[in-house]
Amino acid sequence: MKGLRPEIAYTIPKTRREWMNLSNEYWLKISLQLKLRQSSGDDFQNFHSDIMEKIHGDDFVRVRPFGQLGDKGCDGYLKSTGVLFQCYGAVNGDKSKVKNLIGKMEADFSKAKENLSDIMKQWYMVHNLVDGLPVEAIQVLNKLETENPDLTLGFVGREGFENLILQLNEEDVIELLGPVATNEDSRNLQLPQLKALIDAVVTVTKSGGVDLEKIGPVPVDKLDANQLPDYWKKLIEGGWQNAYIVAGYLDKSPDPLIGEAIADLFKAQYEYLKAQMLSPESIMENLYEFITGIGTVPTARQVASQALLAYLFESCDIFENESKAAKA
Amino acid sequence: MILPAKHLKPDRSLLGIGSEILTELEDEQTVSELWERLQAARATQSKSISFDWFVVALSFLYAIGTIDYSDGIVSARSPS
Repeated sequence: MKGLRPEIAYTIPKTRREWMNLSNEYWLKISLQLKLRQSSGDDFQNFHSDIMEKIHGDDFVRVRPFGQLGDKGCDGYLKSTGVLFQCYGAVNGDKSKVKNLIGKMEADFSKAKENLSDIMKQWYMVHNLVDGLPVEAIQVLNKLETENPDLTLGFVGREGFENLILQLNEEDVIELLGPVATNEDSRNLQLPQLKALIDAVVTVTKSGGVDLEKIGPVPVDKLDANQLPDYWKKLIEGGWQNAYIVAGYLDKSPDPLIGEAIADLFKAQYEYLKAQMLSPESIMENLYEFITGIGTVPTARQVASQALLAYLFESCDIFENESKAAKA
Repeated sequence: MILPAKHLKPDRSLLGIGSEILTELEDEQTVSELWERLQAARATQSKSISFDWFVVALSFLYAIGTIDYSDGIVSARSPS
């Protein structure tokens, strides 16, 4: 019926399961964001479908990336509410290809409207653009809403995925995202894991060319000054309890230049990411992924990576010190 | 690598190690004798270094003219 919105709207409640606490919620957000960046195309569609099946069971209809329904602009369907999902998984969450995104939105919506109007009450574009959507996408959505007042349209992005994940039990989260470190894990940093991590990092360092820098105190409020989101702040703060272990390990290494080599490597990586105008949050995620690599990361390695990042942050090799950030 | 840096403590820089070598250098010694003396001195503070790094420090001292090296013997050069 024209002019009437469906009574049941697709909303993703933000609730936290009992097993989850603030500490592993931070780790979970990082794992989720990395997963979103690393998934593209069919992988991304399958990831969304996996989550939806665990939450909605048979009410959610998984659609094969190929085949009849897949050709009709549908990448997933929630029967009880008539919500049709269209997935857009860009490689590495890259939002620069605006034309591709806009084109897909319009084309897939048209296909769905033409072929599935009898079952479609709501339409959502599910995306992995963790840094946010380009404004053109919002403009297209507004245009489609105006042209289709009977339908509810929207996006499901990073925050939507976070709220979905929070509804899952621990086993399902581990299955989807891998193990999640806890405060207990952070208090038990494993030196062999730290050694393996640093050895892996050192293999990509260049030798020689050490720049001397003034050895100064750690600026106060550096975390706030760099506008990192809360969960990253908490994780870096948590890593500080182990930063001295990293310092001690590097200090005792047979190679006296290992500390400088690692610092140079991460400084260069930080400047490279900053030059791409990425948000502080994205920079930190990329640095974390640079250390851990892609794929499921064991909790011990998560904790070692957290310690190394905290050490580099504290020694001012990455991100801006307080006064510089304030001027920016 | 010569001077201390943010992640290179003074006792691991070439300047720092060089000063320790000069402290341990008595008259004329072979490289091996000097290496053993330095290791013994640093062992009490758990600050070992690799032989490679010791050789780099020796090369640094030679380059700045504080030691002489001839026929396998290291000696301190007297200031002129």
